[in-house]
Formats: sequence, C-alpha cells, structure tokens
Amino acid sequence: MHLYYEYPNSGSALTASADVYDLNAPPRDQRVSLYAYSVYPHTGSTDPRCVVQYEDDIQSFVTGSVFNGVTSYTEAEAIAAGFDVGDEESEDLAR
Amino acid sequence: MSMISAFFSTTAVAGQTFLLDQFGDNIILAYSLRKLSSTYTGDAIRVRESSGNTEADIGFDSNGNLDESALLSHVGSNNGFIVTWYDQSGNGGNLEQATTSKQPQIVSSGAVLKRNGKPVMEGEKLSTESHLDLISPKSTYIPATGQYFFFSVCNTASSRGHLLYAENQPNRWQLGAVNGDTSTVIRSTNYNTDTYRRNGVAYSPANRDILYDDNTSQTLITVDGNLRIGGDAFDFRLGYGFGSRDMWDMQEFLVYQGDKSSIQSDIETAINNHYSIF
Repeated sequence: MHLYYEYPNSGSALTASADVYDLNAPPRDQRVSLYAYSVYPHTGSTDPRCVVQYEDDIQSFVTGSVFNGVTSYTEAEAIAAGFDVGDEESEDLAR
Repeated sequence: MSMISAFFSTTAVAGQTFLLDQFGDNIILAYSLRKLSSTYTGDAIRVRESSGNTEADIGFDSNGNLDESALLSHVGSNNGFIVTWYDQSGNGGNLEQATTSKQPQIVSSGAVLKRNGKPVMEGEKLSTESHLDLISPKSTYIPATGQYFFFSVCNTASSRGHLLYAENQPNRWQLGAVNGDTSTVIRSTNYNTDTYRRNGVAYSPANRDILYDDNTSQTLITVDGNLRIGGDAFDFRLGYGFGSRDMWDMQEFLVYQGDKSSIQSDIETAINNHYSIF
C-alpha cells in the first residue's frame, strides 16, 4: 500500500524519510543506507513541495510519530495534486 | 609431495588469473559478483539484511566467486539488498543506493538469487525504481565526454520496464526495455550513434518490447558509445530511477575508456568463459 505525505520542500521530506529509517536501523556510523522511503517532487517547476512515499509492501518500518499531523494522500490524490509520483504511464521515455 | 610439485601446487592458487589481469588496460569502472583482478583486495558488495537492517561487506571465496557463506551468514533467513557495489578497477568509483526501497536484491528469504547458477542482483525483486548511483564527485571516476566501451552481464527478467544505465538524468539513458511497449525509442537521441552487440554479435533491437523479450535470459551486452554529459547534472547510474522503471538484473558491468573494438571479441569470450551465456 502506498500513501504519500506532503512536505514543504525536498529537505524536510528527506529528513522525514531518514527519521523513519533511524527508528529501524543501527546507528548511522554503522551503515550506508539512510532513507526508508522515496521522495517525489511536485510537477510544477516552481513548487518546492515534495511527498514521501510510504510503502509497507516492500518492508515494514516502524514510523513512530514522524508522520503525525502530516497531510497524506492516496496515490490518485497525490497525482491529482500535481506530484510526480512515478506513474509509469505518464513518463516520457523519449526525452 | 616433492618440492617441485609443492611449488607448482602453491603457485597454481597464488597465480590465479582474473579478467582484468588480462584485459585491464583503460578500465575505469569494474563491478562484478566475482573477483576481477588479482591486485584487488577489497570486497564485492555491501549488503543490508531486512530484519535488523544491519549492513556487512561481502567478499570472495578462495576461488574468486562471491562468498555465499558469508552472505547467508549475514542475511540469515531474511532478504538481502545491495547497498554498495564496489569498484574493482582500483579507481574507487563505487555504486551506492542509500534509499532502502530502491536497493536491488540479492537474497530472498535466505536463498541467494542466481542466474546460470551464479549469484545475481535483481532490480525489481521487491524494490521499485531500483538503481545504483556512482558516488560523488562523479567526474573523478568517469570523464564527461569521449569514447567508452561497456560490457554488461545482465537480463531484463522482471516484468516492468528496465534500463541498463542512465546519465545526466532524465535526459540521457540507454537501452530502455519495456515489456509490451512497441515504441522504437530505446535510447536518448544523444546516443543514436552508439552501437550494440548482444552475446558477441551486432545487435539492433527494433523496439522496447523486443529488447525486453530478447534479454530475459542472461545476456552479454556490449556498447561502443560516446558520453556527452553536459551542464551541471552529471550523473551515472545503473538503472533509471524514474517512472517505476528498475535496473536490469546484473552480474557484471565494466567500463573501458577509449576504443576497444580490436579486442572486444576477446573480452566477450573471456567473460563468457565464466558465465556460459552463449
């Protein structure tokens, strides 16, 4: 299942993804992996907002309170809101 | 055992030769799940196990193959994912993936994934948009322009679209294989002059679907091409990382700088002698 959590910019989205992983992994000095989830930008070139793609079909992570109070979307809602969440059909491979 | 026979017995092991011992000139990046050089003393891969998310470096056994015992000792009955694919060229250009959901997989429920009886990393076993990125600063390891030869032991077996590698994303990519997609665009226009060989023979797939279908079994792809990386978006990766497309399943990927056309057949034969692809 995918849910998408909205953050004001890529930095805060990456921090949230890293915060989740920190809850589930050894200390950072013992690993290269940093992020639990992927981060996707908004399709608007001037819109800095990003979403964190929560997914539990690959691996379940404890999320603690990281996503508490954060606006969430289903995949269809995220696409409708203008986020580029990796929809295969919309991708232009010919670029 | 006589002193002479003991001497040759010892040197037979100590003198084991590897691919880059014979074809090491102008190699700038070299990734494999086997040992490629007698002078390389590092590990093959760094692996994350899915239970406690601990990571461990995995090296080679006494025959130069991936140390599967060490791999399974680390992963146990869990899944194992590639965090780092170490560069054996001596240049230090490792590939990494720090996001867990984009790491290719090498162990599934305690079993090493294999193709033709040898370990393989799968791009879309459980991951989405899997890819491995050259560490930064990338220009340290691969210059932006010039002729290159790529040799890749790989396949497209997973069910979704795959790309072998991309540069300066998202505009420069090669070999987009997509099951059921008859688009004739299999690479960025920047690379229209590049030529391909598949299993030692000239190869010109007509569309993405054919490229996918041709290579669901293990394949040796050779690319004679030129890099034209411009601007400040210099990137180099195995896989694409966009649009739900994953990296191809991989066992080996080599990058030579300059013209290798005169010895490409020799390199292909040497690679095939190990993998028995064709």
